[in-house]
Amino acid sequence: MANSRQYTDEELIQRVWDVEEIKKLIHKRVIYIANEMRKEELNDLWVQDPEHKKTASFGRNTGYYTGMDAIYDYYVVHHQNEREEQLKKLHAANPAIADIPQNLHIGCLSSHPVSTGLVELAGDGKTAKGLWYAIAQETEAQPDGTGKALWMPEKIAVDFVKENDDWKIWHIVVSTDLVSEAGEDYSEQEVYHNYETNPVDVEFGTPTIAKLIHNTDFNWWDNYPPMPEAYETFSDAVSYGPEGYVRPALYGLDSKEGRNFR
Amino acid sequence: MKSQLSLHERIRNANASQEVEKVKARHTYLHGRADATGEWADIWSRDPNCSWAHIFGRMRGFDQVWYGSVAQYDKMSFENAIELMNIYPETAGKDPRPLMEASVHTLVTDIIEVAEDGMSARGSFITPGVIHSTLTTDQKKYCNVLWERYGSDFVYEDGKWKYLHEQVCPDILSRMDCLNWAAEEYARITAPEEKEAPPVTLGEAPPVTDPGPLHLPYSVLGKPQNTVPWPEPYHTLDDENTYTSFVKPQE
Repeated sequence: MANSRQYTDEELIQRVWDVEEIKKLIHKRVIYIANEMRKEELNDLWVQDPEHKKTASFGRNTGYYTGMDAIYDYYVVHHQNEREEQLKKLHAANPAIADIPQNLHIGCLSSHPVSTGLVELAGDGKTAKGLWYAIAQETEAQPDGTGKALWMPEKIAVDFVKENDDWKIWHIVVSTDLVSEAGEDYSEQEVYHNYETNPVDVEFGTPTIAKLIHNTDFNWWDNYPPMPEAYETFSDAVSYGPEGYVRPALYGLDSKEGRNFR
Repeated sequence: MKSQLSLHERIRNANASQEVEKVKARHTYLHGRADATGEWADIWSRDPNCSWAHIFGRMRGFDQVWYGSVAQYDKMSFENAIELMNIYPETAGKDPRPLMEASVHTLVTDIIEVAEDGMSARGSFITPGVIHSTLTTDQKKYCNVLWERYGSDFVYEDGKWKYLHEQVCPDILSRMDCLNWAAEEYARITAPEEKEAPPVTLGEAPPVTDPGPLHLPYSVLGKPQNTVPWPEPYHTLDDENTYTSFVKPQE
């Protein structure tokens, strides 16, 4: 366990410093998202080392995009296309909103402020793992002139790696607990999660590794992504990338199964 | 208070502050899975002076805290799971505790002070949290918002930081985005037949040493309560610097 090691004052203050740097990094990601700067986020905050880029991953409840190229296609290109489509619809409904690049993201505001930070720095100081919770919201203009505001509380689990003295995001899992329209009664939604209509799942599309890694029907029973524990050095076993995913033992039945007993 | 700490002690305490943040966050994520055993077996001191307090009062001593916070809490989740299996058979065999709900007390606004002697730490926090569940016995999913304040004392034991005292002070609770806590409270106190009704609590109170109420949720008739003021810089954990006096009220 890393916290059983004895560190010199110089080593210990470096570790304290590293944890604070990691907190700033994940806070900056929140601001990048709020400012619709996804491309800049990947360029500035994510891994740049070619080997790390190959093994980078972006996970949500329905799987992982792996490798920075696939992450870029999903996170930047697909998102840009969606926003361009949205602007076309806005323009069609209201010609006063010109369909020009400067108007991209009009009526959009996404805030995923993180709280409850739990950062574990590896004993060797080369990597770190962190878990946060965000009571997030995403708001988008609708073609009829209204806006649609969604609450989406979520866990955000991240592996960090140090590249040339800078901390970088290597693997991330954004695990959304629920999506509920602001001002609406969440309890009126259908009980089971609907993967066809849930806006987070629809936006995520079909990732590189498509599999259910967190089933919200059972609350946090499957414990994914888990809390980081103290560790000495990084390995697949502790990764928030797909190689670290472990299906719960004795999973039993899945949602909606086991009904034909009468 | 001007710090007299050496550089070595400041580094030690800076690290301790981060370690305490982690203990507090572990509470949140364990509680999110209703894993009371994980909390009280792993991140709590078993010191006879440990305490846990809520509206209903303060449990003192590890055994009383364990009974109220683990045994009674688990009982609630097990009873829920038994009923749930009849409605949703796919829940059978799964750990019944997280099936009850995800009670996510997010942490913000932390003010942490580590004692000059490095053997304890004190923190105040605000938690603007959410409590949600999908498969429920009334077959409706739900999401509540619950804002509370925390006053927490920690001790350094055998090379690890552990909880010693926790006081939880609920301020507002309501269903997310479809109800209004102020309007609900007004309706409660103006309903003739409910006029003397106590505020919402956690249901049946467990055995406590210091009876409550220790802090009341929002009321249109109430004033803000600074029940768990932020900690000031201090030398060592004592009756002047604690969220639970070491002297019981009856002593």
